[in-house]
Amino acid sequence: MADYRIREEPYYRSTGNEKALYEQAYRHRMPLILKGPTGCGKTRFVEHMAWSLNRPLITLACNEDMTASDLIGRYLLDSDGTAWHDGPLTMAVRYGGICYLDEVVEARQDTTVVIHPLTDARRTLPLDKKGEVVHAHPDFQLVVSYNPGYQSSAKDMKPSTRQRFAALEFDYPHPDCETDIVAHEAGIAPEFARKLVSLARSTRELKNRGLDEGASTRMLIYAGLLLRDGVSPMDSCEMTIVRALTDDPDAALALHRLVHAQFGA
Amino acid sequence: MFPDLALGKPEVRQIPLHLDNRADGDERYWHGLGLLACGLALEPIQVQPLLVTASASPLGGAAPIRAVLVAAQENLSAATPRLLLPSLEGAALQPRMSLHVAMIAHAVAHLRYSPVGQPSSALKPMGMTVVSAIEDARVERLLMRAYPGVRGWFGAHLAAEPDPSDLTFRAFMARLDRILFCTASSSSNHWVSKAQELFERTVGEHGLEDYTAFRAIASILANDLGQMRVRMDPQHYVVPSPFRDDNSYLWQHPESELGDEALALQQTGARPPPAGAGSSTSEEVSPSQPLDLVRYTYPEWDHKIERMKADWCTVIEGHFTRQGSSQSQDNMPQAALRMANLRLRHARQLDRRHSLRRQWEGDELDLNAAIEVQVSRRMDLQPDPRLFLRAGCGPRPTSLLVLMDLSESVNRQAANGLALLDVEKQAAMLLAQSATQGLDRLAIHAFSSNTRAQVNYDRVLDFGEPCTTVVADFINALQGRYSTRLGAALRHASELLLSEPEGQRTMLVITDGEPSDIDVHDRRYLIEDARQAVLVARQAGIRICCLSVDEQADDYVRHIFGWRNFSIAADPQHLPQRLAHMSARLAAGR
Repeated sequence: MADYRIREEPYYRSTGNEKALYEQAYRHRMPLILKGPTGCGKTRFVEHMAWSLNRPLITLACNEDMTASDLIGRYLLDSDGTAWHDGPLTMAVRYGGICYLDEVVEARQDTTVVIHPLTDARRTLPLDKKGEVVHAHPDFQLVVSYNPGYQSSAKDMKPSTRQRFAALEFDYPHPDCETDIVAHEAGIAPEFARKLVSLARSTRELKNRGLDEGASTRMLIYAGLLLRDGVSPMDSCEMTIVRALTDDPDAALALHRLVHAQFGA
Repeated sequence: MFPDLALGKPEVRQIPLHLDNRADGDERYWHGLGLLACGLALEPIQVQPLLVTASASPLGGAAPIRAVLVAAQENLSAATPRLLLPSLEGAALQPRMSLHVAMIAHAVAHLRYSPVGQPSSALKPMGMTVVSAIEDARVERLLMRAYPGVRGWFGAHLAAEPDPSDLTFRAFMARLDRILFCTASSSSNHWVSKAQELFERTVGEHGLEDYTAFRAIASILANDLGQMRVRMDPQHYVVPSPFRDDNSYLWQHPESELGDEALALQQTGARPPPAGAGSSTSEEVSPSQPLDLVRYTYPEWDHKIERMKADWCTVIEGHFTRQGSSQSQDNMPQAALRMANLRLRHARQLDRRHSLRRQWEGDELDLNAAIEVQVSRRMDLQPDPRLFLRAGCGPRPTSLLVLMDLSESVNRQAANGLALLDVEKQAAMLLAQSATQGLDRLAIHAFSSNTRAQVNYDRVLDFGEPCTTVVADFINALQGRYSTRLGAALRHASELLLSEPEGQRTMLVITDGEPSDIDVHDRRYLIEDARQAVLVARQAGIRICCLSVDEQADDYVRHIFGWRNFSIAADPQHLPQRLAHMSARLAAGR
């Protein structure tokens, strides 16, 4: 479990009272949903909270082919016969960590029901194949994230799963705050960061017009990193924002002009 | 522009569709400009071409046309601001684009920073023009502060430096534009340097945001011009810099009906819903029609107000074209050969009913393999490491709905005497026959429309229905008539597809022209509506593609169906092949 502990403080800039709310939820070990657009800092927030609460963090990115045994564990064969190997969820439950299921709606609904007994008053995880019931460690907490924006209604959580969670909603930070974040994370001057943030605001305006989502804070940081290393602003934005956001040549041209408006000579 | 100009205003209107025989290939061009405008303005804004009939202009078409910016109205007729740009047809692509981009940036500057609709009654035309010019310079500077790159966009199209001996009003305004834009330059003309000095001092003392301070210096400057006996001809004056708009956005004229009139013509001709029409799936059937007609109502997207108009279109489902199905079979010939090898592949999907034994990795141990491993080990043999069980991939239920356009235009005969309708029938027939060969579920539906009150929808071959001779007769008897209200048909087809078993749901639309109907005169209206219907269906998980036989279709088909989701068969005879190719690709889930 020591490997899962976060040693250094992850940079996280609070935009409201979400830290205090998380701590309150953790006091009751309440399961949490973090909602918000791509790259707005959900994962970083969980890392930061795990660090500040001094708990191990076990992260699992969900995908469509994931099965319940990928979460709880399976039998493997070794020299003495079969041996049970705990899955990441079981590890967190047994030894007391924060288990973070990223993009939880990507997993199929029949997979996610294994968390049901963990997320109510029982706080147990039955391992039916092994014939064991694991009682959750007092420190265990389950956190899941998802992005309500682009996922279709076909991919949604079952109401029975959903109602077991409290939810925190995230959005892109306020421009001033986002400028600080980009300047800090990419190590660039605030005036460049401000321009990147202003560009991001323009692209977010195009959501559902030509783009599925606007530029995320993470993208801005990527652009900033290239900028810091001496790549020209036009080139770095072209590479990390314009080409990354869309394949559609028309939308790309519009984005290209927005970059030019911001950084052009 | 000016109250006394009411008669001199060029007549502005959108040319109705049926007169529009330009090779209009720039739906995408305008869409791209719209994206740029939204991104810069940080709010929705519509960018549309401004079509001016030159003959209606007393200026004889000689005066250059400037852009028009129309503010958002409180009432629902225009919930978003609109920017009408002269379409500059005939110009080469690069300069045209560059000028349009500068126009958009200038309009965005007004939208973001200018107060809208100031009362104009206290001002003379010259005063109003000078105030507008100062305001143009002020908001452009503000925009350049937010987007430094736009300086180059403006600079490329600034009014030319007039000849020093030219002392007309227009020349003074051109000098004013230049001196306020190029801050480093200076002028020998007293009035121009005074303007520069006043402007820069106001920037220093009040900041660019202070509208009233700049208005005050504009009054001084206009007064000076009056004292210099410079004459202005309001009938023929046009702002000198081509990227600037006509500034009608800034002013509210006391008795201005001209703007309203000009713009009212751009509204769609759609009528309000008739009394009593409305409730969804209402079973009201008028006595004159057969009783197997079922009505559904669907909303329609109005791109001008960016809203759905609820219960706007009535889709009538029934077998319209089946009466008198006595047409001969002579139109169903050869193409069969070309379609014969149409085999549709299945999409694959994880299926837990199949488990794959003896895998290198998997979720569970394969018990038999595990026992063999132990046996091998006791015998000191190398055990086979493949001992896991994994869920396999099974075929994915595939539903394909082919939606055929049966408007009047399909009757038009091509050079070889074969009408598109015949080719469509052949293609439908062959698809129907191929359905038994592999595709899980196939439906062939057809539609045509006669105003929003009557969108005819015919389920020629429904899901799960075998392709019998009756169906063949039905297909044979299809007739093309009326128009193409694509959006309503798409919505109805999506509803039907969504009731299909979960899996891959695909719709393939075959059409020969852009959406149109006789009660709609704005050619963009139905295109935007169809685009909206496609977006909604796609969000619900339906794959929609289009096959068009209109050579000019590239532009609007791409706008409606999106990049990579369309194919164009320039020659109707290629339709069956393209159809085979596309349905195979769709069925394979690619």
